[in-house]
Amino acid sequence: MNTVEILLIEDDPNDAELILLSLRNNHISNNIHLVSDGEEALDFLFCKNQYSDRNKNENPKLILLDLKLPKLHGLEVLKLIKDNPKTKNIPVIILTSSNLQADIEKGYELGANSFIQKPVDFDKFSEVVKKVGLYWLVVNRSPETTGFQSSS
Amino acid sequence: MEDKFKNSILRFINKFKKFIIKPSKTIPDPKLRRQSQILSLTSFTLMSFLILSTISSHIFNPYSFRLLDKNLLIILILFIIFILSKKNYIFWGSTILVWILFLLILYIGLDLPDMLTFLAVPVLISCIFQDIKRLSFTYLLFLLTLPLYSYIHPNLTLEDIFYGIFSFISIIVIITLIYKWNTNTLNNIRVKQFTKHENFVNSVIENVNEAIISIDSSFKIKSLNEAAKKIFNYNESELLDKHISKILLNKTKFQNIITNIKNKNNVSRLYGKDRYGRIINIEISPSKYTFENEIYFTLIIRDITFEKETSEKLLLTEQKFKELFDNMSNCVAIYEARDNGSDFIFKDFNKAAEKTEKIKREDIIGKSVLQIFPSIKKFGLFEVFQKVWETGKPKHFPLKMYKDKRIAGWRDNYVYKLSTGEIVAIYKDVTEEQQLKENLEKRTQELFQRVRELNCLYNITKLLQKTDLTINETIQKIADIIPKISVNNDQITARIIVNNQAYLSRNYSESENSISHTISSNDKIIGKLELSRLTKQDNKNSNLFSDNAINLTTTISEIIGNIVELKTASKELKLSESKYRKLSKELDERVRKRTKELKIANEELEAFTYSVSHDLRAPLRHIGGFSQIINTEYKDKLPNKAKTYFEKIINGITKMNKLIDGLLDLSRIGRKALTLTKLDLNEIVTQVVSEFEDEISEYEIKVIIHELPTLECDEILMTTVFRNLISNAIKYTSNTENAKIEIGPLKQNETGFYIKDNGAGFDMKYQNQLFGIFQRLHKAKDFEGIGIGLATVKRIIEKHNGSIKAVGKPGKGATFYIKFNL
Repeated sequence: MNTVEILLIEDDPNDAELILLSLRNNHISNNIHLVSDGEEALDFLFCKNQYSDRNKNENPKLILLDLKLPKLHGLEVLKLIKDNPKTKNIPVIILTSSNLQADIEKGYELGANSFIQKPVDFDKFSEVVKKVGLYWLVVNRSPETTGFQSSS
Repeated sequence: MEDKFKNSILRFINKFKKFIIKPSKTIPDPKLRRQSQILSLTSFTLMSFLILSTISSHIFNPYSFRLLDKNLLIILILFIIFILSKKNYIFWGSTILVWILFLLILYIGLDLPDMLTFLAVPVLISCIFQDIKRLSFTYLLFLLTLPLYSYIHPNLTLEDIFYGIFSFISIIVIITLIYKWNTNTLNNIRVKQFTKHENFVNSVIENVNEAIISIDSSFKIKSLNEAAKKIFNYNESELLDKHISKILLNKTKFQNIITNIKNKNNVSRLYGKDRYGRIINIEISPSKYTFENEIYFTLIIRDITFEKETSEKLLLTEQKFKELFDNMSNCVAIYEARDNGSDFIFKDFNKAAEKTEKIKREDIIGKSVLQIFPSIKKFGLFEVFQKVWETGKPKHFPLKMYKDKRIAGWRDNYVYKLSTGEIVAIYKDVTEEQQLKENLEKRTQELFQRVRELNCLYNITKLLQKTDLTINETIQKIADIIPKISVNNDQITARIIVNNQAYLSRNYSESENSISHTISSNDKIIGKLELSRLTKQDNKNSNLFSDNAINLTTTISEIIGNIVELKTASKELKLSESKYRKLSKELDERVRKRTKELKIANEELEAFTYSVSHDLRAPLRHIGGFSQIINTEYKDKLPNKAKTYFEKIINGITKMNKLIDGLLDLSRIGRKALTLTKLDLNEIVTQVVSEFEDEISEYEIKVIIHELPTLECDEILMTTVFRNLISNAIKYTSNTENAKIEIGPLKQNETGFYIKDNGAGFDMKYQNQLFGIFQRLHKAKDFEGIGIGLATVKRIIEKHNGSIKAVGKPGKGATFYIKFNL
């Protein structure tokens, strides 16, 4: 199993497909893991339940987090990620369909690294995803990864 | 005949003497008067003798005319001196006199006879006036000039000397003869006159009451009269040649009196003593006379012992009486009866009386009592005067009111008859006392009445607190309380009518003498209160109700009105209270429910907004996303028409997305509280303009930004405002050539800004619609838009306590004025 580079937390399959499409179209990464709710996302990150056999030392390089999630709200997921020393260094990009000021403020407060409003215009969206993905995966140096990561 | 002649001569001499000697009255100093006398005398004598000598020299030497003019000159000068001496110019007079004498003697050269004539003058003066001492000096002076004269006139002949001495001696002889003759004649006349009057004088001396005592200079008694013997109880032989101190005390004072005897009318009081040592008050008038060169004193002595005592007593009594009379607090009037008691005249009137009757003593003395007090007969005092005058018995005229046009007052008279027959009225003005007494009584009665009334009011007011009483009971009680204000012989009863029901006090009966007052409750007349008086006839004012009673009636009526009002109200209150409680409970519940509902609604709204912003957008996104993918990924396989349709789908989605954004913005303004910070509007504008860079350059729009103010406002909302306004301006200028957008501050005294464009503009008649939600003034074909932007701007501005106004013209651009009321 290839190392997961991007963890996409998105419950809406259409949105997920559009995101994956734009990521792929822009050749950012193929190693994308999609989870459809908060709990699953946490299971994945902390290698619990269905992901218990996952290598605990392998963290995704980027998390794309939708806020409007069933069961566990995106912001709560964010909080748990950022509270845990194991996962707190993973950059989290919040994808949201709303531009509610309160959500944005709260998100940054909890340690979100970036915010992307899901644009209705797919081209624009695709552009944004490309830029953000490149930045966080290629340009930005995370504490865990030392070498330059080339996109495949 | 001879006597008469001599008398006339004597009188003439006296007159003449007076004329010459009498000094000027204008000279005050006695010493100067004396000098003036001497001067006038000397000058006159010199003058007369010069005239005489001139005549005599002519007799002896008819040829010596040479001296005539010279003599005449001297005579003239002497006459001037004489006049001067009479006119108080003694000093100048005497100076000129002395100078003339010496000038005459030394230089002009007098004839010896003239010279000797001069020398004879002092002799004559001393003869006539017996003032030898003063003039002998002058005489010597002239004598000394004789050798000097012979020295100046060496050719003096024996003949001259002889005739000079002859003339001197002859003058002396003539003068002496005249003098002698004169003295003798005078003496003879005096002796005769004296003897003529002696008997008269003696009889006077012996018969007067005053002691007349003559003493010599050693104070020895030389003679005394009968009165002296009587006063001092001595025989004549016992006092003659005895020292005066035998009958006089105060020796030193007596000596003083004698030394200062010159003053006339010198009467002094002394003490004397008689044979038995009784002290006598005496009055002495001394006088001096000379007899045979001996000085004697005559003492006229008056025994004033009795006189003094009585006069002193009288004076004292009189003074005391006067003082008493004037200082008496009672009025005193003294009258004298006239015409047998048919009239009385004022003789005296004291100060108290003046004050009381307001009249001056001097204005009424001597006037009739009927004139001053015209009502005195009516008053009754006049009759009393007559009775007292007739019978002599004192009478009391008791307190009565006197009144006439001028004065009025209460008088209390005591009338007496004096031993001298005068009538005295002693009386008092008791008007004030009387009035005070009356006032006091009246006031006391009033106060008692007030107390009763207040008590009554108090009791009535107390009824208000008794909540357990019904209206009927309360009013009946009031009716029972009111009669308690009655005075013994002045019964007051009450009748109260409320709502056609009568409440009577226990002893009520109809009376014509009554007052009433209406009773109102809630400004509506509901009845009346009636007070009646059942008065016994003896009270004069019985048919009148006092102001107090009228006030009382008013007050009680008001209280009854209040009671009715209150009682009725409290009844209603009790009923409505439970109703009210129920209502308020319901209301409370309703409010609570409503609040809850509102809260839920609010929550729902929030959820809705949230859901709109998320859920409504998701399908749009999907439609848009996939449409775009189709349009790009499969563009080779799609017919052109399909592509156009896909583009239209995508446009629709973009527009719908904007619509959602706008609606969210708008709804957010309503819910969100303002976060005010000091904002530099320039920064916001610059930032917003930069957001529109692409469009601005695309449409070649000129954007001018003036210096904008710094304002306290919500940053996010204000950014929204500018974003909307600028995008608006860009949108409507997109079809305009030389498009221009201007942003600037309002005029000096206003805070705010304007944004002006030269774009499509609008018709002013639609300006009200401009800010309405979903209102658009332009066709969607011409300008894109959802009709929310300006509505949002307006809301934000209003939330900032500001106002927005738009001015425009179709095709000529529009200007938005945003004003803040700080």
